[in-house]
Amino acid sequence: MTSLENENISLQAKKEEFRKILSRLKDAGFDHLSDVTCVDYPDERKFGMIYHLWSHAEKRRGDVRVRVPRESPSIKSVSDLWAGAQIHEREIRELFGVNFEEHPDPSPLFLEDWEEIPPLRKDFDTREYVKKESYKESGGKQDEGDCFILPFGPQHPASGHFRAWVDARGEDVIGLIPYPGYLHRGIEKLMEYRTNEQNAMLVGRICVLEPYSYELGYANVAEKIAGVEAPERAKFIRTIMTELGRILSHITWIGIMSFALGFESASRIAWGDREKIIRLNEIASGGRIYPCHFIPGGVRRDFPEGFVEKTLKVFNYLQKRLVFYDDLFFNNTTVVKRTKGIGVLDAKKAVGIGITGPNLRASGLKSDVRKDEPYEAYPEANFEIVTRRKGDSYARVLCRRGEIAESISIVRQLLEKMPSGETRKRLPRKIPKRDIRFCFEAARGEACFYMAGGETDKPYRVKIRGPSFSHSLMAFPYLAGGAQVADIPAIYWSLDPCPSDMDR
Amino acid sequence: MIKMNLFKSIVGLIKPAKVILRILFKKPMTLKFPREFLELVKGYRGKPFLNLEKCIGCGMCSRVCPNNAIEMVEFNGKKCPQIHLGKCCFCELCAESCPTKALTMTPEAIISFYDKSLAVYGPNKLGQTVKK
Repeated sequence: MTSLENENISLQAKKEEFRKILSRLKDAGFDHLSDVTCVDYPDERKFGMIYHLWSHAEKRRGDVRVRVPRESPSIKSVSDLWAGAQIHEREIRELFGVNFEEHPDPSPLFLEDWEEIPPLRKDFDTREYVKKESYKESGGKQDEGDCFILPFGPQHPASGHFRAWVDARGEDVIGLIPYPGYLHRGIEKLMEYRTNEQNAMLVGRICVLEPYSYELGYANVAEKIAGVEAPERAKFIRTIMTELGRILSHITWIGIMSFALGFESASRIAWGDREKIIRLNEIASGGRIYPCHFIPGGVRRDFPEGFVEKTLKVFNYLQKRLVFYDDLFFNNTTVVKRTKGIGVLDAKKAVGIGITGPNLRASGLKSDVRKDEPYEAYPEANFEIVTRRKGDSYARVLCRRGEIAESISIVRQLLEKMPSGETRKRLPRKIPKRDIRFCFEAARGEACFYMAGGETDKPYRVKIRGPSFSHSLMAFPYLAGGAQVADIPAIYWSLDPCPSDMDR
Repeated sequence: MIKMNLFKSIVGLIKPAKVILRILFKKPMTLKFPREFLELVKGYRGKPFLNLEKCIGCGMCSRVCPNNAIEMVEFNGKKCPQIHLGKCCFCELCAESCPTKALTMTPEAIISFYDKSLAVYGPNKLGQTVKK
């Protein structure tokens, strides 16, 4: 592999020896399994499996592609190499029906008593299924467990649309079983029915709290597959709005985190400040929560007159507010005592289970897609990666506080360098027959879009990596084991999971 | 147990209390909704408005709609869009694709109904100007 140093690598492997290749790549430094993608090719009677790897040390990506026969889809699990693979394989097993040999826990994640063909296969028609099932009266089943469980969510005020079964003996948590699927909308499948333009309106719904990041990711992947470069000004607008979205997401998180800790005053105040940025979204795009602003080829609206001044005004206000939040929340003794030393995640374990973003940076690893693989207008801005060393809940809290300040500085720099010119290019309608993967840094961590075209105006397959998928389903059970019942909301929200990008 | 500097922890308790007490005497951030509400900006994507004279009935809006919310119906001898606002996601693709700019979005957000059938806006209802 000497000739391939410092370059992204892509390998095609046979089913018999792909594990050997993967374990060699792992030894060669690819320590982060970013995602596992499965694509259904019914014409070739094959499933295409792609293992997306990332090396934190060498900052490069690696793809390993394996073909699995469609009649008896079975492949060896790689969860012994990367513990984080477990959860991706469980998802594929459920949605595609691929069997993973020697998988530690092959139980279903999202679907309950599913008897049809696996839903993400090409021969499953979502629209027919919805027509058939949606209006049917269902009896509803009751879970009859014989063990004592403490349910956390989905009605718990601090859980979001997520449920976990907490196995507790007194105050100590013995184990925790996550139970996702309350927000599973099958966005990956829905996107196969829509054109690029229509999909751009859908991707914002992947994560309610920061729709801009996903719109940016989709616009980029669609441009890359068509071989079109967006205009320079559009790139700046997209980067600025995405950073505003990051601030929005982190401020919302201050609110939720303080709510989870039982400190409701701070939660109301933070959500009040959130309004300021929502107002900026409204001015720039015309939508408050779902901006639908970016589109493959550029942006739909240029900045209106007076937007820059308004943004700077809001930033002046926010910077004053950050000092206020230090007094109110970040240095609050109650907050410190409830988060310090709780849910400690060391960097090595975090990489192993696929943690990314602020949660990984809180463990001391400098990893940020914005810096490692600069995209859009990020190379123009000069910024630091905010890290903390301890990896506990308080480190994650402080990491996000640092990121708000860093994002404000990025936007200030970019607003000064703003080029003029056009903001939108038209893309060809047809999506060529190839596949592209684009990774970007969402507020919660590394998110990716994988897109395969098929010479039609609709994508053949889209795979989305939501950062919360690993955070909620791998890190949360790991950290909750051995903690106290009262610490569960503090651990859960310090990871800042978003159930809607977890389920997709 | 986590040991904190005693002085620091006392300051960390007094400061938040002080800040919150000060907020008690400030104006609230919220508005009393039905009586007063936030003025929406000019370019806000709210209830669609159809200029009946400009519409040529080409059906572009119904083809581009991501949610199939738009149906073309017969109205005054020509085809005009009928929008199901319950399905509409207010993305403005229809207004963007309209060749004569007959369909536009208005800054009107208070559109909720007790009955699903009331959410179907025919060409006549879409053509009515916004009440102020």
